[in-house]
Amino acid sequence: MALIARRLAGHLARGLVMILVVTTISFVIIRNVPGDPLLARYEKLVEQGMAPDQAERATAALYGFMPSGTLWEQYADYMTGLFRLDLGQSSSTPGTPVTTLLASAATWTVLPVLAGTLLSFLAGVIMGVYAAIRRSGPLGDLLAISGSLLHGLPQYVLALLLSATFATLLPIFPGSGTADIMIEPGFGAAYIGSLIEYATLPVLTYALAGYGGWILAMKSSVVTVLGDDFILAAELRGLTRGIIFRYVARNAILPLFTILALSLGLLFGGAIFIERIFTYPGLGLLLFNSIADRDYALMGGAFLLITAAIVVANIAADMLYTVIDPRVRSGEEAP
Amino acid sequence: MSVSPGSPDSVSPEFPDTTPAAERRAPGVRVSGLTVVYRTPAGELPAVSGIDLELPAGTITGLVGESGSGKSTLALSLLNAVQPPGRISAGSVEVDGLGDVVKLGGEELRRARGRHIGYVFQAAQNSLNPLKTVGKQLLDLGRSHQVRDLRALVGEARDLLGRMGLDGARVLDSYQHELSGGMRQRVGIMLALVLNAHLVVLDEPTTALDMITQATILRIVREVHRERGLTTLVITHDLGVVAEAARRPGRRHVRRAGAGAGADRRGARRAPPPLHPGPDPGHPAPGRRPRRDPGAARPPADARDDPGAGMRLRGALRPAHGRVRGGGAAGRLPRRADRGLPRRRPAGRPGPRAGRDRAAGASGRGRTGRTRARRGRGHGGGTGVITGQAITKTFRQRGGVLGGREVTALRGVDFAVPKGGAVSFIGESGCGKTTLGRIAAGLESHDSGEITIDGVPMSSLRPRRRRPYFRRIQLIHQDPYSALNPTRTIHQTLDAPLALRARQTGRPRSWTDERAEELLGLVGLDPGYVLPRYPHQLSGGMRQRVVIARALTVDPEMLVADEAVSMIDVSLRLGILSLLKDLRERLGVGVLFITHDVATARYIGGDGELYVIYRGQVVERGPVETVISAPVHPYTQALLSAIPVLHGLERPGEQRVVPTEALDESRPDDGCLFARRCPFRTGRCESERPVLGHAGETPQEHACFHPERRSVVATPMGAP
Amino acid sequence: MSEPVVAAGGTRATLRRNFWRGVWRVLRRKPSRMLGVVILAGFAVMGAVGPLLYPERLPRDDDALYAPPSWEHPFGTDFEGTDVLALVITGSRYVLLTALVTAVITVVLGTGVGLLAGFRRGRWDTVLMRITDMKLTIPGLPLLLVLSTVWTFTGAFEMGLVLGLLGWGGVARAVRAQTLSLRERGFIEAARGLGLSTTHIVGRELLPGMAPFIAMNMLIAVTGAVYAQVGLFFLGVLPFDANNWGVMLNLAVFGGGALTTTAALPYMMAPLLAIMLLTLGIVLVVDAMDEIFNPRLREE
Repeated sequence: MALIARRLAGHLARGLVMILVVTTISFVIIRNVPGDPLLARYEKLVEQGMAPDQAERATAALYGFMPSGTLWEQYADYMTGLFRLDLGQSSSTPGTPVTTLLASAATWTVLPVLAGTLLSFLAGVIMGVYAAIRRSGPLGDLLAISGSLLHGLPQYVLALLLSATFATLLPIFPGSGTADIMIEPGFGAAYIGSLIEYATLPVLTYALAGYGGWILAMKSSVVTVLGDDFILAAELRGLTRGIIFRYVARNAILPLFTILALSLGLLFGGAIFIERIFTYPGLGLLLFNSIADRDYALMGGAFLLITAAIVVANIAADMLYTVIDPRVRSGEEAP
Repeated sequence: MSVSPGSPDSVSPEFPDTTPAAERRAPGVRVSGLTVVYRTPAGELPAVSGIDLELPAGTITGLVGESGSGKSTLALSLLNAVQPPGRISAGSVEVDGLGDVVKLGGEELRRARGRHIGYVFQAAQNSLNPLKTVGKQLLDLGRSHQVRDLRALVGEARDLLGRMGLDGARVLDSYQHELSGGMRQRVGIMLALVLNAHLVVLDEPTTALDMITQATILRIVREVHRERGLTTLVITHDLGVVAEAARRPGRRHVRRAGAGAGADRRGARRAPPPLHPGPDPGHPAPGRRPRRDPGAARPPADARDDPGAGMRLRGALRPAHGRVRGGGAAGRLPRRADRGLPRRRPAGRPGPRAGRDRAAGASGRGRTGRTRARRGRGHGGGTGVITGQAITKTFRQRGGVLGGREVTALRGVDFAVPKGGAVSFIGESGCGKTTLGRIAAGLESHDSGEITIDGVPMSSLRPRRRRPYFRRIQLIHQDPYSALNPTRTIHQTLDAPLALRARQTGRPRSWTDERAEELLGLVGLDPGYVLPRYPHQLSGGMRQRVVIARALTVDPEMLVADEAVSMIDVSLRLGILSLLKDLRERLGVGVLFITHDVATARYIGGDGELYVIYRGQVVERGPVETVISAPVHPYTQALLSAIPVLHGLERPGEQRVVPTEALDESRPDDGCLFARRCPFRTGRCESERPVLGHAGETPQEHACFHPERRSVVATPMGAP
Repeated sequence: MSEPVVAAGGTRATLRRNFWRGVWRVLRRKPSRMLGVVILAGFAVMGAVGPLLYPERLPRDDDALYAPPSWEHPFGTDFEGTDVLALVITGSRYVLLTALVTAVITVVLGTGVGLLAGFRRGRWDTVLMRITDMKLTIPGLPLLLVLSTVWTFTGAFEMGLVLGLLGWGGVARAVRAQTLSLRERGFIEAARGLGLSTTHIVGRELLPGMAPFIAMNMLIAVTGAVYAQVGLFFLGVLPFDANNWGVMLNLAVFGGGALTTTAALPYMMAPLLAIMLLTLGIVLVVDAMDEIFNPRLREE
């Protein structure tokens, strides 16, 4: 237990440093953007007839810190705001706190990413076992090569191909949005059905993009385990095929769980292309739009959240390993 | 095959079984005309061809062969479990009560494995699922074989483990990684026997275990065999292991695992190595040793292999004794090479006299040895090539600032190697002997203490200035496979240090090629053949010779040979050892010999000193023959008595020390480091640490409070 | 004894010849590898020579906007009536040049840092690896997007520089791991014990063993760079300076509405096909890499 606590502490410390670095990058960018958005905003408000101190407060609310004061004061301001979970206000959607926008966008990212990743994990693992068993035959070769190709292709290529095929050429699924705008949002069957319909292509893209990696990882993992001595030993002890299969499967899948946790974190950032192509209002699209609109507070917030997701995923992956592998549990070896 | 009378009296059908009780006795096994081939791009190559073998019911049989001789393949054939791309192409394996195993398949075969035939893996291999406790795997075994009363099965397992000296309940609750090598091996034996199999195959059961654990495991094998009335087959590369497993006076002969078409020596050597993708159980260190692939330019490599080198050596330098003779049942007995004991008697006819011969020879050599050692022992304070004073070293294992574990490798070791002299360090793996060798060669830093080379204390020099001194001391690595860069030819490998040497000494660049050839000739290799080749095109023995030649490029004063032959095929070892010995005599190069094997230490440095190291402390030090013939420290005694002894070589009535195995040594202890394993410990041993000295007027130095207790009684272990 | 001298002296040239013979043998073993090499060579030629075949300003056919594929325009035309194939070919130079710059920076920086960390160990290692870890954890694409707000890195060299500076972490980590494991091997220790220089040890003993590894990472870096830059231009966060595949994709999808009408589909498919073909080539060549650099596998 002490070991787990120690590892956790280490991860948290490193995560904190990461978040600091990322927020500092955001801050530096906000302060160094050509044209100084803060000053511009302030001057605009004053121009519109607002009292200078009022205008200053309005500007501060927008970015989380006062445009006056030294750079260090501004930085300290920004950071304290951060700890109060106050990320400022969006300028492209005036009056809305960044946190609110992030929260609503996160839902649209988390659900499809989760669904797509789990789908690809399941399919990839099963086909990976198959590819490992048939590794010397043409079918195994085919599975492996197709896995490498899918793994190698960037997400936007897959997304564009899927969209072109199933939304443009054969209009089976809608290619943009989250649900039919004609249907009243709610818990009705029609709305949920529409949600699923609209989510099909993004989820399928996530799934296809991940599938190649899983099939390759599982194949090599199974091949490794099959060559392990204890599998031959189990055979020589006359264990049933079922039990031996379970031995192989459990040992082979173990390292993949870590990758699973990590990939969930990484997909938050990678979702930009998919969300942009399918106009799906998740974190990625939010980040993209904030950049297109030069909405710096929102940009900083989205960037921070995407990074935080990775930090959390890293911690989760490590903790997961500690829990499921008895060797790590007893501190014998690091993963 | 050492035939001990079968005594199948302990057949106890505790579990309901479909087989009639009568058939669950030790079965006899008849292998006839067994041929196993491996499919390769170059066609099917035989790994085992036309082997006939009989295991009479209730006997222990030894099967001896080198790696690649097909012995593991043969072992797997007994269970019809040859791994693809290999397959049994001809022959039969008749097991009483089962019929021809080769013809079995599917469920029948599965049931036969585990229930009728038990298989024990090499100790270095993990035969256990790392994610399940031993107990859970035991239950899997029971369920697979439809054992109805699983509780009784667990009870039997606990009982078996208990009889092997383990806490059964604790072991069943443990994961594989929580068990030591010796414990794992006992679990393997338990799993092989728990279903009452009466035919047991043990494949290299003690490779990778230290000497003392090996002795324990072999005794367990022996006792279990006798108690349960088994038919046992022990496969090994080490003849001593067979002798030890089947220790019982009587008739014996040993099956040779040859392969290939012919039974002649060359044919056997060229036997294609196993090719199945899984690690080959026959290799002592799978993964670290690249397998030789068929189709590579091998025949010339083999033809010019060490036997040939030995012949050249005979012409050029001196007769290389211990060449293994071909032909005959005992033809490939690698015994002398293996034990490093040059012996005059043919291996096939050992009699009671052989023991006396050996004893006489030993003491004879001992006398000369001692005189010479005395001559060489005038090292005192820094006249030797290298001396070390109070060397300590502690390693911090990874884990960073937060969770580092500290391992003490050396606790204040003094040593000295005189010019041209030989000093041997002996101890179990992990005792710190390798670290000491690396420190001596300047490859590792030490925490405190002083290394003095040629009278110059190293601490007085800045690191850069130390280099020329440490260059005089060259390390010969244990593993000739990793000691040579696989991407460079032998020519390139030798050329780099020679070029440096040429620059330093102002010799012309053309000198390097001449010198490379000269050195290769010196180590008994044909330069024309070796120079343009890559390491993987050479055999293990040739590689080690190249490594030695490379060390000689800088004209060293001393070689540190760290287990220099342990990864080389048994029959080639003697060649390397005699080369080292020869270099000592001809070039006056000192040798620091690090080994776990007393016999090789004695062969190389019989005239020098022997240091026995235990947990980073020198526990005994003195002339080799003195220490071997009259060890004082209980650890030395244990180490010496753990050496497998061939039949007929034992002194009658000799009581042999059987010490306990290594315990959990992570606990700090202030007293004697050996106290917890020592049968003679007293209160003083646990509170005070003895220092090296001549207490009790012994001729050698030792670190024990009770040097007077010489006769040791065997600790009963494994007895119910 | 004079015969071997000749053999030893002549080994170097023989070795080099043997290497290429070995490469040829490895490639011939699987036809797919040949295909990979042909594809990559084709792209290299396309990037180097392709743009020279077309005039500085590509001809426009005002009568044929979004023309369907035909003999004259195998992938149709774009919104201005320019031949799509010509756009792909002229755009390849930017893409491949960026990829090359990225790969060189990635490999040089990554190998340097990895070697230094692995060979020096100790404090160097700790500090360098902490930095590397940090770099690896910060999500690359979002960071690129954020950076694009303050820095318009649209030129091929600038783009390559940015991608290279952001991308060396993985190579560094891998090279360090390799170095750490190789330095434990006996031959490195032996070289140190013999007093050979660090330059010799790193250059002659360590690096050749890692060559396949580095080459493989270089190819992966090339792929990553192609994807990232095309992706950035596709998203449209950077101003369009020159013609390249990402710009084509952006114009086709967001300008031409390739995802809503079929007219612009060929315009979108052309750069996609180019990317897929390049990926295929790299996957196939990486497959052969290990065998090419392993003297043992090369010979059989």
